[in-house]
Amino acid sequence: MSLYGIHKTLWLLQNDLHFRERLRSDPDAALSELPLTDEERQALLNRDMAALYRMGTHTFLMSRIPRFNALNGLTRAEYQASITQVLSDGG
Amino acid sequence: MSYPRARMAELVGAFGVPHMPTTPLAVRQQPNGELAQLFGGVRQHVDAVNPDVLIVFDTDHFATWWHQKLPVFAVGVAPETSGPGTDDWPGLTAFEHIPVAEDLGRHLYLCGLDAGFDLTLSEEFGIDHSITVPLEMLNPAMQRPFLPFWINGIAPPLPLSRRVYAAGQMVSEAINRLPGHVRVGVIASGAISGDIGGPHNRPGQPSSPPDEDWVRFAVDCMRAGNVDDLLNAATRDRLQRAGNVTGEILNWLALLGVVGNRTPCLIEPQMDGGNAYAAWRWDA
Repeated sequence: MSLYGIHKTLWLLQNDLHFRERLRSDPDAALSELPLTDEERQALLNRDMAALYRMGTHTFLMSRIPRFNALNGLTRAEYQASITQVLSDGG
Repeated sequence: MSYPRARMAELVGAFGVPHMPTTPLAVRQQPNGELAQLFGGVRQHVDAVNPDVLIVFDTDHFATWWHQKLPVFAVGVAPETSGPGTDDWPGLTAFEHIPVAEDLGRHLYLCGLDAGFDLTLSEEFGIDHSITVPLEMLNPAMQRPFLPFWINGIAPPLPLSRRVYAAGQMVSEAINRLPGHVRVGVIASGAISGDIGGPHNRPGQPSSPPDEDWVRFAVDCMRAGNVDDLLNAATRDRLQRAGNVTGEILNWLALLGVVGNRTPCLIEPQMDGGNAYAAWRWDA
């Protein structure tokens, strides 16, 4: 898995104001045009930060999601609750 | 009595600082606070040696460079630039028409080719807060032209520490061959240890506690001018263990390539942030 589509999504979130707004308010539509596998798309839409982490997504780029409250307003607390699940599986 | 002026450029100082986006607001709100004092301590040395131009060794945070194009080393060569782009962190200052040391950039690009460092060249680019914050703190009103020299310290796999150090040595030699009496200062931007967004982040904060053993070791090495031990220890795995932006220390290793075995006239760790503040002067 290249992860390129996820990293492109998160790069756009940080750097493209129009995409940032779309990924905040309508993630389904925003992600429809990106080169993501079904698994990658579902992890983003499910706001499953642990899954993104396990795939190998760069954590700095992942941190753009709560930083810009993307995916319908994911908060830092929600982000941390999700990503800390990986600590119990040793990862 | 007048003295003949040096016909070639000369290095006058090297400086290391972090670039937290929280800095400008914190310094405005607390002009005598810890951050103001730490940056101010370095700024005194910049002002004392008064360089004409500044080279900034920097790791861009996926703004100008990301996985679509990901150079290990790059220089930005244009009349001017702006930043920090779409970063809306509260209190960050937006700068337009920041002068870039274009001639110096072309010279470094050519010297790099001749020395076996095939740098990526960009003639249109923005800069993110990792450059605007150090410049705002050390180069007020952006009065000195600067040259961005980017090093990939963020997207694994990272370059070898010794290769980055050698790039710094190449920059030093290139400055010695730059025509015209230009006083050059060099800045390293970035953390000694840092992790943004990982599973160990402090509750409610975007960053994890720094790897204090690593910060202490790195600062002790720099204080003693003990470059070899630091380069030996700064393996890809060790940097990754100390956090996902710990690779920013590569900017400091490039700076040490410029500095050589000089010892700093100032080096102050800030453990809670995983940072250090340092200055080396050629007149010291």
